[in-house]
Amino acid sequence: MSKFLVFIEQRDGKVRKASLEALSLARRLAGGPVAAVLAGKGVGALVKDLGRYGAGVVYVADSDELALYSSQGYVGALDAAARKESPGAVLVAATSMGKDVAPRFAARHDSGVLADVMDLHLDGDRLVGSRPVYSGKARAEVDCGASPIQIATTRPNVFPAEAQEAAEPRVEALEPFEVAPRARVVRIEASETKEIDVAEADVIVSGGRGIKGPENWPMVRDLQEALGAALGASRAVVDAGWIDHQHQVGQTGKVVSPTLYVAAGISGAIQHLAGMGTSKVIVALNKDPEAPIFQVATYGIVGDIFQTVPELAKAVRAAKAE
Amino acid sequence: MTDSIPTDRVIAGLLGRVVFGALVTIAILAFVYSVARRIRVLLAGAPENRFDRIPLRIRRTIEYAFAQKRMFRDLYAGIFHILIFGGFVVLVVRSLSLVVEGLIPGFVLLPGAAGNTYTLVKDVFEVLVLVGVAMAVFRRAFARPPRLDLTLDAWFILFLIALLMATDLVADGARSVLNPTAFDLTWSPAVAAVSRAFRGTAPATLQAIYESCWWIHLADLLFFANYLPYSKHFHILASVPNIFLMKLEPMGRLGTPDLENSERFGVSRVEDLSWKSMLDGYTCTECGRCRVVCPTALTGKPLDPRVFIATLRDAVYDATPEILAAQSGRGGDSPPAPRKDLIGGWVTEDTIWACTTCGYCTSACPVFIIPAVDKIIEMRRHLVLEKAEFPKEMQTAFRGMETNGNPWGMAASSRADWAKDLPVMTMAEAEGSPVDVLFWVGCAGSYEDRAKKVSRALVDLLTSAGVRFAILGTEETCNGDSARRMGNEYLFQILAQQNVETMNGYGIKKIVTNCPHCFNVIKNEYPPFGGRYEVLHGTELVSSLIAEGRIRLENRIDESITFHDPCYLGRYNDVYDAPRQILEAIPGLRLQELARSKQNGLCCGAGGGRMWMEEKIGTRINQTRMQEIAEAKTDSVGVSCPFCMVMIGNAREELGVETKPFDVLELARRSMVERSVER
Amino acid sequence: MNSLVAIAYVPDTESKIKIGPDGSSIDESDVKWIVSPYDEYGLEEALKIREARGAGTVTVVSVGPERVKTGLRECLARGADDAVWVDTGETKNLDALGVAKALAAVAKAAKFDFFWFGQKGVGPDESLVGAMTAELLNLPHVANVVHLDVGEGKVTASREIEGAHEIVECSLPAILTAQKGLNEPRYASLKGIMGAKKKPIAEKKLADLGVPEADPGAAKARWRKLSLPAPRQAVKLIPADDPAAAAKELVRLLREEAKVI
Repeated sequence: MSKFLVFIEQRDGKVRKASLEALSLARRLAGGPVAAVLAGKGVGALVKDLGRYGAGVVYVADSDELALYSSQGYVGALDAAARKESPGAVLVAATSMGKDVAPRFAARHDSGVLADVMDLHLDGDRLVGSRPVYSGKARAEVDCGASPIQIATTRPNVFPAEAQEAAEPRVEALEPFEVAPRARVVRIEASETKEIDVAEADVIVSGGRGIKGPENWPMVRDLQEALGAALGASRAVVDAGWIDHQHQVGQTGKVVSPTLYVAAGISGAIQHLAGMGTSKVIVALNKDPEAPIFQVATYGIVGDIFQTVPELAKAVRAAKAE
Repeated sequence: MTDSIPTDRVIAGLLGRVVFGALVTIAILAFVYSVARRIRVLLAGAPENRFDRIPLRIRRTIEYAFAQKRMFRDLYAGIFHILIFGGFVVLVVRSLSLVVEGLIPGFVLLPGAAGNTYTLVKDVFEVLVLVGVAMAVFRRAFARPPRLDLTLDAWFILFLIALLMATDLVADGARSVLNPTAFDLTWSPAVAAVSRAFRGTAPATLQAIYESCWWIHLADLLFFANYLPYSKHFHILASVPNIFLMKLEPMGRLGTPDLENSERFGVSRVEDLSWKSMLDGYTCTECGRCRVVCPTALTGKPLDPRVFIATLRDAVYDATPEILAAQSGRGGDSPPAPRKDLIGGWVTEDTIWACTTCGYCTSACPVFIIPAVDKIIEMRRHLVLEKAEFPKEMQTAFRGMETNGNPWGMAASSRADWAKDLPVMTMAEAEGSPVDVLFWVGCAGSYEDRAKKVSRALVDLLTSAGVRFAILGTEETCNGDSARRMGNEYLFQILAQQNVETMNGYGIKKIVTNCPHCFNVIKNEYPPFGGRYEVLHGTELVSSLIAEGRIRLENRIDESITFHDPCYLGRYNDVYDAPRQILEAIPGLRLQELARSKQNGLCCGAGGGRMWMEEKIGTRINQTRMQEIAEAKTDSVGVSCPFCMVMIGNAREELGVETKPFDVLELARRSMVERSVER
Repeated sequence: MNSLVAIAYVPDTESKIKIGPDGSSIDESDVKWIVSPYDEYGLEEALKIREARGAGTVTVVSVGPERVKTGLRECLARGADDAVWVDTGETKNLDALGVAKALAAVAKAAKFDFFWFGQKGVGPDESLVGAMTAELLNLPHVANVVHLDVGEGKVTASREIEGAHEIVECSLPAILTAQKGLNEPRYASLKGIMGAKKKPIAEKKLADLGVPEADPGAAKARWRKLSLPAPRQAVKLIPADDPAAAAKELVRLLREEAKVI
């Protein structure tokens, strides 16, 4: 197999975990250390760590202009590294930055992208990826066809990031190049202060009539926070005035399609299913085993939500702390 | 009249007659002017043919205008109204003859026996009208039913009517004492009573009483005629024509505009209203019967049908000068000040979207105004087709119907999944073998959990009765009721054409459906699209199968039950008995009626596309209805509509009420003894 | 200000997905098609900009077989001024780069300030075409836009990134990809629907635009095989006798089996 080059994303002086996952994957596929490229300002200190995850050589583009992301600067760095390394394959984590970098780089090299893959293996010299399509209703096995460079973006949190004892990688500084981006990040606003809108959330925890009263929202909120989710609600509890309409999921509320939907104390009437039925994974927590929500759920716990919800929050926190 | 006293004594000679003649002329001209203005505005309204089927119209007019059938639903009001109405019909002759007497001395209306008869009738009715007025006064002053708005206008009119009667009686009473030989009081018992009271009064006083009463009576009459066109009592003139011109199509059939060849859609300006809608406004006398069981008026929504119609009338009156100027070609050089649109200006959008189209107001109006439904839908059409402005949650339903043929947007290809494990054929599979009836499942029956169970119950009932039936499967699509009643006429017409084409393709003659909305649309609204079928509601077919002995209900259900009438089954299509017959046929089940039932049944809140909208204003309709149901203190409540089931079911959980809702067919299924007869 | 809007016409998210006879594409027989929801946000924003400015045109462009014209008509009904249809004929699964090349070719012949894309085309869910087109046209690109302020010759966009929003200043012309939250797409009025019938749809052949990827042998990304996941499993019920253990087991499944947390 020809050489791998992995694009490393850093933010605030920290390498993104998703990039380490991509790096580890490249090492596994290549059967040894691979090349990585890192762009930013004052990022030299990050190099050492990359060795443990599989980088044999790290191309570093370090300049003031690269302090914040611009596609011109960061794709330029990847491009410069690629010219030196002549890789056969490039891996990029499918983060919001990676989803900009990879396709631009690919188009520059007249190549395709195996986007957001959840599995990646080699078939001879050929990278073969696997990814869910049509809201997870089918799975496509994809390869790079006639691409001169095989490029894949890897879905975060899917591949393991494995640290190993390894020699410190060789550092190759990339020649400074002119960056005059036409699209420039002027600032980053943390959205923690604002509650995530249920319509845009990737994970949603919803409460229904089973929570018995508005005084029990803190319990649901606790699970919501543990999962970093948005808070949803069934029509019934919105109608009952337990929570504001903006949280309502369903036919006359918001139509959502998150990766994970946790329904706590929601029976799952059709008007609710119409709003969340296409969620990828549905977890139903309900004491009534006959509740229609169990017909669409992926996982379910039939039991008292006043026990299961707090326990689940605890278990999620424990798992995230690992 | 039988007296020979020359009336010119009263008119005080030529001068008096000239003055009187001038007064009458002015009054008549003013009256004609006022009424002509009103009629000319009607000519500016959108066209609508209401001159077809004349014999039927005449029958209806006799039934509802003269016999006043609908008035007697409120017995007290019905009685005093017909007394006053009867009096008007009788006394209009008397009053006109008085005018003529004033102008032509010695004029006698009817000689001999005919005259005597008329005198007697007139005499009696004058008293009856006074009785009627007294009843009305009592009601306004003391009983005060909440449907009434106690306006000064109403008091004034009652006063004018009473004054007409009283002055006529007193005038004749005084005259009969002055000139006893000329009066044959045997034909005038009321006048005779007045006459007795006047015995011994000085002739000069009597003469003064007589003359002043005569003048007051005629002044009252002339004033009254000219006051009418500017008061809600224009109904005295407009009701009879309005009833004659009533909508003869089924109540559940809305107008079908030609969308391909229209420039404007729906109603937003006064001129967009049909002339008949304007006449409806003239006719409304603000009796408030339409609001008694109106779900929106009862729950604090901005729509009150009584107010809605009065608002439209006010808008028409407001636009009258401009319309008339435009008609006569005047006002061209200076464009008139911008007038308020009906929507947004006179009627708020919240009002327009509030209506559940339950049809109560339409069925309650004694003079056949369609207070809300058709007019509201016309306005919704404007908002949806012309402006695409509507509560945003409706878009989910529209898109669901467009893409997947159901308002939830569930996959069209899984429409028949509910029947997967049942021995149910699709029409495509049944091709060639004869089918008695098509089971039209409907969106709810296909996708909604509870309604799916009811679909299965109907399948069991039909199978057991040996009925050969089939479904359309994935060839069925939404009937379009919600789309149409939410104003999306375009979407409705697409769905209707598609369904009619599918069903006509199979040569379908007879259809059964358990959804009253599907039932109404297919039965009443598909004929203009070329779809003519015999359509039965599930309860109709099942109750006839029970009556024929093909379904045997023998399992006991020892419960008390009440029944909630679906609007589109009951009020819209007069199916009240079939579901009750089924409930009564179930051994052990004890049916108890709700306080508001049948044509007075309160809507569940889901009709008119409200199922797909948020209810943010006022209290909740479904909870209001559920409270009424709970008051019956029965074990369960029977419903016959999947949307009622959802609304009532939700309200039950919200309120924590015990009464369990069941579809009538679910109960029939439970009670049915399966036959093991080989066929 | 003129906008181009790229429109993908995709299977409705409720549609049942079946595998076609070639094993690498879907069976289209029962599929209902819709304009990809994210593209609607792009169209809506383009229409709003045109309305706010009181001038400019909105041109919708779609690359695909004959059916995409229906999607283009829908967009015209909602207010787009004209449309370009790039006819892909029999080609199936034209890859993202191929689509980007076709769109870039159309864009080169147009004068525009904005070229809108959806954050992803629902179905393939790749999020590639916008950025690729930007590269081919050598234009700036802002992805996942949730808010936009239009200035003279430049825009300030707020884009969604992990746990934060990036505020990006961008010169025009630019490629923007729209994310949910940017706006509420409008519904077509009947006037719009009737009017759309008279609006022009320019037709172009893929072959004429210099897109070698139209030939499957030259594709730069290929679907080798399409498979259905094991039929939707009945819900996996976790015994709740011990709530703490049940919660742990659920979290384990979500991480290791479903891979969602």
